[in-house]
Amino acid sequence: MGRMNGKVAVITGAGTGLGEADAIALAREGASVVVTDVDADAGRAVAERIGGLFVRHDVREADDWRAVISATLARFGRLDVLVNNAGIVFPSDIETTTLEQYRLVNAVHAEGTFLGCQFAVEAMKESGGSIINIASITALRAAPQVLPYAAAKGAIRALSLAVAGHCRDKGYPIRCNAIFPGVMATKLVVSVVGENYPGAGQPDDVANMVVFLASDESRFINGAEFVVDNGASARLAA
Amino acid sequence: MMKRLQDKVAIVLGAAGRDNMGQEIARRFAAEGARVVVAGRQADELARFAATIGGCAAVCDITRAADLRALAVQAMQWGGRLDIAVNATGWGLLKPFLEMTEDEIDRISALQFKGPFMFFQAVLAVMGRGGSIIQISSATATIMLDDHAAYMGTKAGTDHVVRCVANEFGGRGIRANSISPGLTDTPMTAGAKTVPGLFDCFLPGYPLGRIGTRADIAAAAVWLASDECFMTGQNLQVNGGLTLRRNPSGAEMQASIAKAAAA
Repeated sequence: MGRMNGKVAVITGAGTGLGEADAIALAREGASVVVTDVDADAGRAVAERIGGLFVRHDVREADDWRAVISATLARFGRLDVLVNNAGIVFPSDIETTTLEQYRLVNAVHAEGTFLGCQFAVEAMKESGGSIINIASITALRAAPQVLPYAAAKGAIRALSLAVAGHCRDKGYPIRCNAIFPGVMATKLVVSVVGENYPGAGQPDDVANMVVFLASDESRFINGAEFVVDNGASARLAA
Repeated sequence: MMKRLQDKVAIVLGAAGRDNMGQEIARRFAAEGARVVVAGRQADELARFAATIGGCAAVCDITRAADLRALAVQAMQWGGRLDIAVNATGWGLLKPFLEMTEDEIDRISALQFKGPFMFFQAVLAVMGRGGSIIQISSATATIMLDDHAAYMGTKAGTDHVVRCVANEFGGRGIRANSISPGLTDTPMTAGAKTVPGLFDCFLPGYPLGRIGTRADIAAAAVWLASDECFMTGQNLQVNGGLTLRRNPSGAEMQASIAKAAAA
């Protein structure tokens, strides 16, 4: 018996990396999965592999979100889990970042996650569900080399707490939690830190936490923060 | 020796037609060390072509702002940066001035003016400090070709937008230029090439004695994309000198075709 049997999950940015691992893990546990990504080829390949539905999705666009939720409800009849995973990162510090780049990264992470929470709360406030926002340890510790990313992840942290508090206040059976991965061996991260980063985690390390937060096993956990970095950020110095 | 576009990340929009100008530019960029996102409307051809150059395929309709914004994000996601953006799309519509319908005028404006404008917006939003934007224009933005007004007008209008981009974003180290091919041997002109006598009557307009090739255009694009280039806001005439002379008139084309048919 899978831990996600009968549940329907939407994962953004699931064409590669952490999102792909989340989609595979949730499907393995019995969930019906909707894979979304801006990269149609990558997203479609993952959806085919796990027997899920692919929807092309730019998380910055409210119209795209509307289409994702409609397609999910039309195909599977319900929505139980949203994983706000889609992200973008490139090396840039406080001296080199342009305002346009800063806005872009915030649009994908902070605004995209905001839109996702808004659409998911609307879709799940009667039926209940779990929203999982992928933040980063760069929201907790200084990460000067990826400044816009770190700042946007900080916004996701506060957003997650506020959404959790709102659902609790309103009596909606929706939980909202945030995961703070450390350096993971994904294509996105390798593009910044290079190959063979010492102590990098595997996408499954995050996916395992996602499955737990998506399943009913975590039913009493709301507004919580989970660091998944094998102690890297807890240590005094690298 | 370091390649001329080593480690740069490029978008080439208009690369979904087999062996078209966009694909040739993308191929040359990749050969010079760039990582290239090839974009256009045909997913299958893009995926096939991207695999041949180790690039990334992105489905994108230039008339849709959301597609263009997603394309820019996909390039950043895949490449981690964006240095070069080429718009090689176009619709070579030939039709008498008075017969152009409102729908056709809307369509070509969307493809050749509004689309490129939104493409520039999308790529400028993700580019950092430094970069090169390349718009494929046409010799006919400068010299006349009969029955081609909407094409020529929208290409010329976009060239002026390119100048605006160069002016406004030079402070960020971003260059913006157009390339103006003349008649070029591409899939877009393949139909015309099969008409005996048609290509021939263009030759007197070319001081260098031949029409252009995709390779001629790609070579110019590599230079514009590279750090060797200190030019911005210009319209590079890569057409063998055609703009020094002129295209044949409609009447001259008809005469040449008739002569070839009689021979």
